[in-house]
Amino acid sequence: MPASEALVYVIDDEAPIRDSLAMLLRSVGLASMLFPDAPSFLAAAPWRDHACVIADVRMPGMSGLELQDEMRKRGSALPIIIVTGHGDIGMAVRAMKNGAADFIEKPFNGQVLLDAVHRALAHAAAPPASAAMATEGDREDLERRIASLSPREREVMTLVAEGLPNKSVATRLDLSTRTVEVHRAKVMEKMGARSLAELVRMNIAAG
Amino acid sequence: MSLNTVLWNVGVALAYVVACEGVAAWLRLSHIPPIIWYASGVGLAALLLRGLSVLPGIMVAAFICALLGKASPELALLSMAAIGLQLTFAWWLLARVFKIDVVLSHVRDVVVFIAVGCTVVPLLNTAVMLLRDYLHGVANDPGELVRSQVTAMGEAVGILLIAPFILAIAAAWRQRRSWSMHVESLVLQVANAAVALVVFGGMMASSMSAESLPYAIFPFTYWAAFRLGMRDTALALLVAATIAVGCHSLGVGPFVMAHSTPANAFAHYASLYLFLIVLSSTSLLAAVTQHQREVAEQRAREHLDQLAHVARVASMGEMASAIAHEVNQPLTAIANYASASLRLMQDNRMSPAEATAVMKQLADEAERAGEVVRKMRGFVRGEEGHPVHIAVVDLFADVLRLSGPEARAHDVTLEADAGTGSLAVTADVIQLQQVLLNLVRNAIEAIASAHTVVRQVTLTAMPADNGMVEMRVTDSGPGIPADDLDRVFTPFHTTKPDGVGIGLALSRSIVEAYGGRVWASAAPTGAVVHLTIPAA
Repeated sequence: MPASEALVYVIDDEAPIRDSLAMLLRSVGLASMLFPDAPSFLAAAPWRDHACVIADVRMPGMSGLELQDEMRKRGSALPIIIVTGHGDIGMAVRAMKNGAADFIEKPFNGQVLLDAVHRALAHAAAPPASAAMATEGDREDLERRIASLSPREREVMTLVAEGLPNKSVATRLDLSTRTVEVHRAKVMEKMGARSLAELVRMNIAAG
Repeated sequence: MSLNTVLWNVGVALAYVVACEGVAAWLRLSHIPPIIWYASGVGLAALLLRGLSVLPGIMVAAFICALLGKASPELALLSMAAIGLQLTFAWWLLARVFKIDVVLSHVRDVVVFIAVGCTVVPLLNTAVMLLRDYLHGVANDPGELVRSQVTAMGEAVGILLIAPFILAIAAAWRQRRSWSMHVESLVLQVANAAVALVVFGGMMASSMSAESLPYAIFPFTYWAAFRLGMRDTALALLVAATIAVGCHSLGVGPFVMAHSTPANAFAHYASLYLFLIVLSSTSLLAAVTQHQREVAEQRAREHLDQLAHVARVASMGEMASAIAHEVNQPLTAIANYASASLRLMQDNRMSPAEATAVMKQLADEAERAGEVVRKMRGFVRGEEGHPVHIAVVDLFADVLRLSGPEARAHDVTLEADAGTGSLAVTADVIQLQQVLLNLVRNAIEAIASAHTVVRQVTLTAMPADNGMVEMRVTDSGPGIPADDLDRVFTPFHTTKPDGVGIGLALSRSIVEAYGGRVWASAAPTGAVVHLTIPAA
């Protein structure tokens, strides 16, 4: 399917964020539709198949998490990218467990967001069969990577993937924050995760 | 036996002998012999304060007193053993069975003290005297029986008067009083003594009803109880009672009946003693009740101060979180616009009109972020302090009071030395308190987290150059790594698991706002944080 047919639904209560996101998407040739809140997006159904959703986790009326639930209830499989503000990582992790495609922390690097959007669109376009096969291959790869972690690194990964900040992980494990930072970097490297969202996804996949 | 114990024994023995011999000399002067027996009260107070370690001193003193009273050595030994037993038994009941607090700070302590201290010793003493009389074959003499009962009451009054006075002095030894309190105390004691002399010295016209006259003492002991505390109450009681009994022993005062003979005047002691026991018991209970209420109020105040402090710290954390959130939004928009523009311009896909529009957006968003910062600054300025003259002594006292509970919770000793002379600074009290509380709290947390053996935080102050006063917070914690000495005051630098890293940064901005400086250095063990504030 040509990329020009892809559409990104942007839902954010702040106009500057919506507009700047639209421009960022346009700069890589992606079309977007903007909504100031979740209900107006839900009212715009049916949605295009080859699309993805970028939703702010905190919005007045209906949060990103509630929107996600509502879409699943309506049988939509559109990938959702959750955007979080300050201190909402825990909510983002919940969204991931609920099947969100990705999460991104504000303020974000434009490239990181675009990468996430491309991944989500590719997932939306991919036929289910090949996706399953890829998952099978990924699974073996994932297990191999997890096996390479030390017990301590495994503990750090579990807590970090729960959305806990380094400081809280340090307290839980009775380590210094510096040590947790080192372990965390090691985990990211061994797991081949480029972002926290990816690590969260791996942790969910690993069960 | 340590030198300290020896000195205490000698001191207690001397006090006991003075109490005995003073009364003995008085006894020789008086018309009607039985009078207040202070020595047992001295002995009991000493036991309560120092424990059984001072018992030898008391017993030696009792032996000497008996010999001075022309008793045979055998009788002196018996008397010594009897006194030792009585006092030890009373002490055991009070300190071990009822476990009273020797500073008599609770109503229960005073009630138990009155109930036990004033009955056990006199009753045992009466029993010993009756036994002695029986052995000497003078039993069943009714006059002797009354005499021993009155003597026992005299001993009870003695204990009730002297022991609380000694205990109150020991408890309030280091208590500081304001000048006005000293003056009030002096006025009260002089007035009390004067009224006691008038009432009990028979200086009032005989037309006055003698029965109601003694009540004139109550206002003074209650004045002491409600305004000046246990020490002044006990002193006022001691003085009034001594005057009352002294006058009575010379045959004057409201308790001496018109047609009294030495024989029945002796029996009138009973009503005088009863009066004194009621006066002392109620006054002491009033004093301790008032004390307990003051302590409770003080606790409540401290608690409120603590809450206010916690609220300030918490609101600081919330503020940091709010700033982060508010600045995040425009920052995200700016990053998006910039990133998109970069891409579009690289591919020559951006028209000048579009570029202009984006630039305008960027400027707007930057302005929005700036607005957040301006608002925050306005908010902080709204809380800007009012510099006043602050005595460092008072400042340190407040900080000790506010940090006390936390220090105690972590078993840390907190001390302050405000330096010689009267150091004072010009700053806002709350802000400067905030800075010092922050530093002390950090020090306590550093010690607590490192589990160091020596657990001490010290506040010191000294004059510094250029009209400044330097204050130091020294702790016995793990110290600050040399690399971090300069970094600890940077915003968001933190080593605490749940810290925001704003405390020291805020402290620095407050101190610098007054033209002072704050820096950290290494102590032989632990860390020192120094700060300078303009002297007043």
